[in-house]
Amino acid sequence: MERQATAVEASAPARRRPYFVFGMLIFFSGMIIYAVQIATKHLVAPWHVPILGTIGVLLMLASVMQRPGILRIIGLLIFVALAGMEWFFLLGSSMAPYAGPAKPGDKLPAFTATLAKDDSSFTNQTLEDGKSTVLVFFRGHW
Amino acid sequence: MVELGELEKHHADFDQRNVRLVAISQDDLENSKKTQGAFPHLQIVSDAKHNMGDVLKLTDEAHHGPGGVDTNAPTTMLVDGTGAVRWIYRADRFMVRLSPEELLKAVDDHLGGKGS
Repeated sequence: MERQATAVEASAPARRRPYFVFGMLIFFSGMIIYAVQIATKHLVAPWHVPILGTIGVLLMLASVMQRPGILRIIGLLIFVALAGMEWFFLLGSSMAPYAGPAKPGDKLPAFTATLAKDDSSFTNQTLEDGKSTVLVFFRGHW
Repeated sequence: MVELGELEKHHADFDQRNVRLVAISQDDLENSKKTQGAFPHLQIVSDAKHNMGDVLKLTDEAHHGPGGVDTNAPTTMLVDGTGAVRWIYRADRFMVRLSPEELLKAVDDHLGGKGS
């Protein structure tokens, strides 16, 4: 009996670690952390998203190498593309330092725009009324 | 827009320092009025003709908004009561913004916290 049990154990396939699932969890954890970051208004560069995405893809690759299969390979390719997009988005988001004419210590050059509340003019002279101002230039309403 | 929401929430801290908050985009007047409605304690400015963007060289040449529209490169300037610039901040990535706490510290450091 003992010999039979040993033979059965020896012929059973080795237990594989679920690298693909771990990889997916790590991949999505980066996105979840970013969503939490946005929800908590913590606007810093989300380097963790592509880094965790890449770690996740490497685990999926290990899984595919361990046990190749059409579905795993297709899944891996999809996640490789997503991780590539994450890197592309983050690396492509860089901005050059400000190099315009406004300089600390100097007055702003003459400009004109429109105040939304009453359609009145908003100019450089508007800012010379004795009250300090924070000018926030933002990307738009979307 | 997250940034504007945070500034709206902390407007009292800026009022206390006698500092007004002005937010400028290249949106048209109609959209700027909608933004004004959403953030009543900020002064929303429409730079639809890109005059400020061109004069101050703020248009982001590398990134555009939906439909390819021009946008400002997110930038923050502190201007004193005489119209002189005291501080300029631009992050190295367009999704990065100052928190209200960081901005208040900059106001205290560069405008003396008194607003004029």
